[in-house]
Amino acid sequence: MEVSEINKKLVVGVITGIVLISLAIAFAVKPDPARNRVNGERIGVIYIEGIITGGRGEGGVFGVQASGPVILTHLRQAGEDDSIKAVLIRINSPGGSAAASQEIGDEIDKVRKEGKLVIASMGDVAASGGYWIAARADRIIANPATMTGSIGVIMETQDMQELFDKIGISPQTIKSGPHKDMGSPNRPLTTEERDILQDMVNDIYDQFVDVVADGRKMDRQKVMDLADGRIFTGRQAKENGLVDELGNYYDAVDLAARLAKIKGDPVIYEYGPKSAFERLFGGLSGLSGLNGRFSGISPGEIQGYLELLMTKREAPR
Amino acid sequence: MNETKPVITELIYGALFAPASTFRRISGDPPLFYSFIVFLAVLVLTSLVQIVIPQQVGNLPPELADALSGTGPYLGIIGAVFSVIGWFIQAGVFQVFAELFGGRGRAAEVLTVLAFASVPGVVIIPFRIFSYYTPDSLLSSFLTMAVTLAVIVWRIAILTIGLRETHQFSTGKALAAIFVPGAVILLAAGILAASLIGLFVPFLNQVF
Repeated sequence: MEVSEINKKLVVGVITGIVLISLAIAFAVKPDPARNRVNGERIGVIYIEGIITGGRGEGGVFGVQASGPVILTHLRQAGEDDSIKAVLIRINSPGGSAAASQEIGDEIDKVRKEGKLVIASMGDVAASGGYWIAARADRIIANPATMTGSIGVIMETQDMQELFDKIGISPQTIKSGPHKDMGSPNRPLTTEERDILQDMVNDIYDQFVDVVADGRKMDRQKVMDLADGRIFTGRQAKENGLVDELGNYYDAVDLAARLAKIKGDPVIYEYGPKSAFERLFGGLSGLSGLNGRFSGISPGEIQGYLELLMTKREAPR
Repeated sequence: MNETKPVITELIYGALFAPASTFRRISGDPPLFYSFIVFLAVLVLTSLVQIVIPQQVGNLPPELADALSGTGPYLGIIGAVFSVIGWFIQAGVFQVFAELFGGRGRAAEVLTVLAFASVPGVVIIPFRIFSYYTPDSLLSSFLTMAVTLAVIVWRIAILTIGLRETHQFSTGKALAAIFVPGAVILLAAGILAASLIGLFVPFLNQVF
């Protein structure tokens, strides 16, 4: 059946009318600024996952590690961005380098001094260096089964002298001072060296306790009672004042939005790699110097690799 | 019989709901002026959406997000200019491939077909606006996706029928004229990417 001329005009008119009316409504109803705010208020999410190191590599397909310098950069960016009203640090780390944790903690202090709220959200584990970082936040939120705490310092060395003797290896050491090879596996520690290392461990431990006491507003003695190296569940940590609230990541987002007085649904901005490709190859930068040509490795990179290798031996726990 | 020239509403209706007879009717004498009007109207309407609905920049890096936050109108204008240029380029490419497949139509007819094939694009506009104001609604997300998909199919159908009628060849050849250029570009891009990977592998070996 042939459609009449009037009906054709009517159909085209109705379609055009619907389109124009919807556009007019969109013009009349001002878009909600909270929906897509850019110059408005956002929560910056920074992930700290894996062993905390002072190196630049982020692990990627070659392992997971939390690079101190990368996290510092993210914190600095979040601190300088006016649209970021609160920073949510999502921690899933068993700890790592004390110095790297300290650096990150100091940068968190700077972000807080700039008037921004910092919330720590704990994942599976936020122990040792992970807790050091969390203690610098305004609030800590953990899952009831999160493993946290492990406030303490550990340093381990291996004496392999007997093993070397058995397999006929006789290491030769030329050193500038009596303690230059302190902790070397080639020989046992002397009493004096043991005391030196113990002093170091004690000093780092004191710093760790101070950070927790200051950050958690706790009596130092109470912190020391808890800081015997043991780990706590999130629930135990809350009972002992090491954690403020129990909840998951989204509870932490809501808490950050509430405390930062963000109106409406908060806009989340995640720092770090965005795409699967970036995540997969995030660690390549950290490995790029491992190509035979030793002269190509900077002192910083050597330090980074050394820390990576030594993490299991020297980690504040 | 001396048939009267169709008016613009008749052409729009015909292209949307009876493309075969409509394009057969205009074959040989394409209404280029109406085509321009229709193409520009669709372009203006779709560009207005860019202006009304802000860019989704919430999860971009802060510096990039700030830079992009007020770019909606400019992006709309840039997009409109490129669309006009793209209209001619697309018509040229389809014309070449249509002739390769034995078509007998003219480029002006392809321009007309492309202009009228863009009309279903306006149907998405109300759904995009609805979706923007109901961000958490599963229904609005589903509707927008479904309508977008339907509009894509609708446009391809109009384009295929339009090319078939104006070039007077089979539906298969019309589809080939539409999709072969894309396949050729993809193939070329694939060869280029493979060549570039081959070119850079020695450098990557040096770096890693």
